[in-house]
Amino acid sequence: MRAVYEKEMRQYFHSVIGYVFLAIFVFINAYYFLLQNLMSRSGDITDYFQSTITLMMFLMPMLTMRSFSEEKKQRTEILLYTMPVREIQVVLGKFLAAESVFLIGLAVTLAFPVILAVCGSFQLWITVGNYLGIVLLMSAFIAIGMFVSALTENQIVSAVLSYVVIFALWYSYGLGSTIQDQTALELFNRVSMMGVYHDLIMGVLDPAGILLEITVTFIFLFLTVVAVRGKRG
Amino acid sequence: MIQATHLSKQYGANMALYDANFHIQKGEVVGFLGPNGAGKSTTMNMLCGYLKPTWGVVKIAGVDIAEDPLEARRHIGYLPEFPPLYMDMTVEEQLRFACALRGLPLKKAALKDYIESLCRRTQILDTRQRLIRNLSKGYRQRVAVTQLLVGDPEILVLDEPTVGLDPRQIREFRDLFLDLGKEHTIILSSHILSEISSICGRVLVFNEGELIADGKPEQLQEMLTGRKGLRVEVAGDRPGVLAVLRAVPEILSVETVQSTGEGRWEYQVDYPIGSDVRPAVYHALKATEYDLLMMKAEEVSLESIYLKITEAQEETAEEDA
Repeated sequence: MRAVYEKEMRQYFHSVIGYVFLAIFVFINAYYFLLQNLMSRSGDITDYFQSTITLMMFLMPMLTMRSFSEEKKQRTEILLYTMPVREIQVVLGKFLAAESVFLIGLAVTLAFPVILAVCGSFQLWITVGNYLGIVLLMSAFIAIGMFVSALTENQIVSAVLSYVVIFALWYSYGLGSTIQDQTALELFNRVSMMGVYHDLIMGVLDPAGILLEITVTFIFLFLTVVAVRGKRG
Repeated sequence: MIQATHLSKQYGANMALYDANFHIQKGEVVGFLGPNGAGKSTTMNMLCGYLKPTWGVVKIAGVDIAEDPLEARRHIGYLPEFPPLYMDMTVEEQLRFACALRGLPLKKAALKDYIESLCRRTQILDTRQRLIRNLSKGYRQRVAVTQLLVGDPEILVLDEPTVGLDPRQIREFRDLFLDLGKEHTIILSSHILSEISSICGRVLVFNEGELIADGKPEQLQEMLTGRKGLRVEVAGDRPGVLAVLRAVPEILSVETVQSTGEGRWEYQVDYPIGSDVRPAVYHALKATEYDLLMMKAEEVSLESIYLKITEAQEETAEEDA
């Protein structure tokens, strides 16, 4: 797993993709922090995170679109599957590498709550909730992106399909308002990724919700392994 | 070392390989021969664990590859038709990655030395810091072969390793394979038939998804065509000689090959396996005014076998059309 992880990290930063991702990521975050918190004189970090999260969703497929597609296209995958490593190690190595690049970007934004704290407004649980919410949600999106990438050898198709899946998951939450029945609505919010995210950014660290998002991530990682194996059936 | 039993692979309605059985001993150097789409690459992909057989079993060093793929893969190095190299890596990075995938327990300095020793063997020492993208086809192929040697697997499987190389490189590769063949079990597929006959002690012939022959290069023609060939040179008028030769019992066919001088012709005589018509030919000619100048068993040429297979295939295709 470490071999694949190190190779992926090297590839992110050998090509421009790692740097472009980080540049856009930091720029978007800094821009919205400036706009939503500093210029509007708001101490609530949720304001800024809510604006950036949809843009982050746009960025995630950038990290995963070439993950398996490129290996397939360049015919390098045959190396991974004829060497003594398990498919799961390949999938996890790639996942952790994408996750690492994302976390490097997110680490930069840790400066923002510090700035807010210095200026006198810091809500610990809301900040923790926001970060946890973003990490869990983006991890799930990375896993989804990798799964899609394992299905096609075209990077562009891979990216577009990832967007379709991610946006379908994200916006289906909006449909919740049409549910009349109260119990059904509650259930819907509980199993919706966006619902869980909304709980988290309020500072409500609901274990069931957190477990749900982790489960979604693992399901897609598992599906990726299945897809990778199935292709060679 | 390698045992394939009832090995078959089906893609949808298309049978890429049907019921191949063979056993390759330790230290053998085996060539896979056959036209494109005959099932050579599919077979190699299954032997190396990249593809799962639809039916059948592959055992590598006694280990069923479906049951313990990791252990089986430890014994095999595979160089597929398209060398699996990352264009955005340097040669050294690529080889380090291969070492890591093989799980070689080498520390930094030892790893550097190890990679250096491998590169020396394949003569790519100077290119270690270059991006693979910028290397020529010949050098890329050498990097791929170097990668194959990482961890020193006992079995080396190479799918058309010399395609696209110039004649000098092909000769270098051949020398390398001959050298490697001393201590490895090697399977090699190639379109260059002289390569197979000069390196391999055994040839498996594939055609249309079936393993149709398995044997020493010199036995192959007999196995494939069911007949043996004889070259006969005779002085005398052609129609007369042809008539005499055709009258010899057991001879299947006689063709004129070429004129070898004033009033001298060379003939190709085919006869069934299991018989020897040479004494009969000798006596038949002796009883006439024709002089027998030369008679020898036909040289086995893989070239002609290959052409026979492909021609047969084209004929079937035409019949189908």
